Amino acid sequence: MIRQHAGSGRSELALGRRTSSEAPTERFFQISNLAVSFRSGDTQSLGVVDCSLAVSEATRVGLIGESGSGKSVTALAALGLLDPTTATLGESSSISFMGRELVGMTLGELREIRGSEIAIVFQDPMNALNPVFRVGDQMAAALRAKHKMSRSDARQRVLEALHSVEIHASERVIDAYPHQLSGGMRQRVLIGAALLERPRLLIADEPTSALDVTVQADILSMLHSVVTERRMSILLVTHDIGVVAQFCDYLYVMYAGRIVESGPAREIISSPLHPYTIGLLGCTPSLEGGRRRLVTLPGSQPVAGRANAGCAFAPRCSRADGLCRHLTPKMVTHSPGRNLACHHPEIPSTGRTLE
Amino acid sequence: MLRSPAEYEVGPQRPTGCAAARALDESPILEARDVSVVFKTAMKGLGPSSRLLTAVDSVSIAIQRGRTLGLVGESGSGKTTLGRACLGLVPIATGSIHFRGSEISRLPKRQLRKLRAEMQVIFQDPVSSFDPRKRISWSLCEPLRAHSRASGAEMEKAGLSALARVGLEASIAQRFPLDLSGGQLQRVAIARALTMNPSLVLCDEPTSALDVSAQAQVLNVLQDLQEELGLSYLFVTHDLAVVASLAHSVAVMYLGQVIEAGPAASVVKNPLHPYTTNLVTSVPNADADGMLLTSRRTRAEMADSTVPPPGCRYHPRCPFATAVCSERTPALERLPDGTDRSVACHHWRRIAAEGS
Repeated sequence: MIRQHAGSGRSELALGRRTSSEAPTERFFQISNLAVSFRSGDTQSLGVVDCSLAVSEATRVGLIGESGSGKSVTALAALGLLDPTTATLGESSSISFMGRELVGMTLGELREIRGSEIAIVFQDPMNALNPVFRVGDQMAAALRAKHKMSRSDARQRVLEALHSVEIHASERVIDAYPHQLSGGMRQRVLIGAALLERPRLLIADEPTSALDVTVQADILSMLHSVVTERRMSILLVTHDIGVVAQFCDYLYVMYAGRIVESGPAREIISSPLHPYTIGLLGCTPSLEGGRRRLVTLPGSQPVAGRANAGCAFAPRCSRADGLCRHLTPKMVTHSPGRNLACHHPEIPSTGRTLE
Repeated sequence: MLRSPAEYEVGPQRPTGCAAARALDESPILEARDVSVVFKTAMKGLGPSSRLLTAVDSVSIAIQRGRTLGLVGESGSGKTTLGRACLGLVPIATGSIHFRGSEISRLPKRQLRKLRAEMQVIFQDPVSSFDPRKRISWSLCEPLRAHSRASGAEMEKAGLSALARVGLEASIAQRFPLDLSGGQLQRVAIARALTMNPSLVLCDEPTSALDVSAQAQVLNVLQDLQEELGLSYLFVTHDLAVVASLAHSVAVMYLGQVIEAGPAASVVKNPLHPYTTNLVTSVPNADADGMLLTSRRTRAEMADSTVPPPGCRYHPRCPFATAVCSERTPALERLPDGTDRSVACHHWRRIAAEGS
């Protein structure tokens, strides 16, 4: 169980504080003011400092950040999957799905939602599957634990799920052990397992990062057609800006435990405003660039929550001044649909200025 | 910026003017001719006989002095094995490897050891290539301890000057690997290679475990060092975008064979082999939205390398395959247009004609 929810009024209050900065307005899935701290021994460390994001119905949302930015912690927190003995959510953290508050739910209530409403796919398909059971049996077990269902019905549902992730030899794969499948096939199996109960929202945490590029492209293409067909929403957590550009409608950029920029994916990639986003795009090698020096960001990302006062990006930022080093910038609406937390954002070439 | 120009002056390194030396000496620093590497996959007690896995199948590559050859392929393509074979780290079954004129595949161990000092390796995982219980200064001098009789003070000096070359502060030498980020550790790994004053560095996926911002720092350091010291790199990677931003030439491997080779910019811009095309179009591109998801043509995955498909090894995945592809293995043929490109495909002319 995660933190007891302290009355429904709190989350409303929390939402009210920053509705202006949230672009997708429907309350399909919303994380507000998420803060996560981890305790180990006597020390407390923050995994997420302040994260608010929203996913509307039938949209593909990307959450991008480098390792240590808190993006995976956010994904785990969204389903109450953090270890309650070490992780604590902040006082005003709220996670709501179709009007229901997930923070403070009992394990039983969460189980009703996990899998059937919100499902999750992890990065490493080998660790997510049990090596000593056939993949079909593992998938069916999840189904039969929750629903009264005969073995043959469950098998039928599993076969359908394998079909939906474009596994053509599903009759062979269903009786295979994980080690008999390639990495790409295992990841398809996991996505198939996540889709078994036809969830409305799929959280995918680096689903293709461990795969070869050609396999990654096949799986992203498959995932794209499945979520479009079923009118599902997806929250894709990744470090790869190229994947986001290809896959997502809307994008959140996370740095040192905070969301620093959000907006339509295409707009952010074509005209990034936050210096970190600009740096991230500049240091990503591309096929077209030819041999060249890449743009670099000096130094490295601070551990979330352990940054100095002010903007966590300030020590690496060429625009940083005294203001940045003392005052943490708040998320503000920059232009319709685009929000960012920066005192000195890039001014887009269209001539639009800030404030 | 990673370092000030003054920091480059530190250390007794190779004299400058490498560009001139390079122009005089056109012979490749490393040349592999028809190299094959065969592994025995023994399944003790589980099967009647062991199977032979041809990880690298009669491959020829060459690296020019001061240049970077990118060796690209997916996992299981044999790129890492070929890279290691080139340095004499894996025994070869057939063919020969020539490094600076001497055939290392036939050298006695003691002489090979001497030459190895000039060939250094940077591995993929920076964390596991350092002893977690030793300070950076200890690990940094490890190659010097193994290869030279330098005194402690000399080794320390060489280590510090190498650290400066990769843009790291001297204080890092007193820290432990766990105190450093992946990007910093990888730069220490480069510095460690530099202490030997190498002429060839095998970079085996050196940035795959890093975040993009750390990757950019490492790639830039490698490029700067090449310009300063005239280093040659054999750069093994699965990431075509990294190759495009770093390598002069590229060899694309598939199931143990080189199926396309040539100048990196030209191959990436205008791939001829259907597999190279597949690789290029699979790279998620930040500029072209949605292209990737609609242009997929292949579905099958790479075959088992113990039983490679007959004929062209790519034919089960290839949208252009015909009967001849499953019967005859296409030879790597040089393009007649003098562009220094080569391709191993029965149908590259037809595909190129259709594409244009």
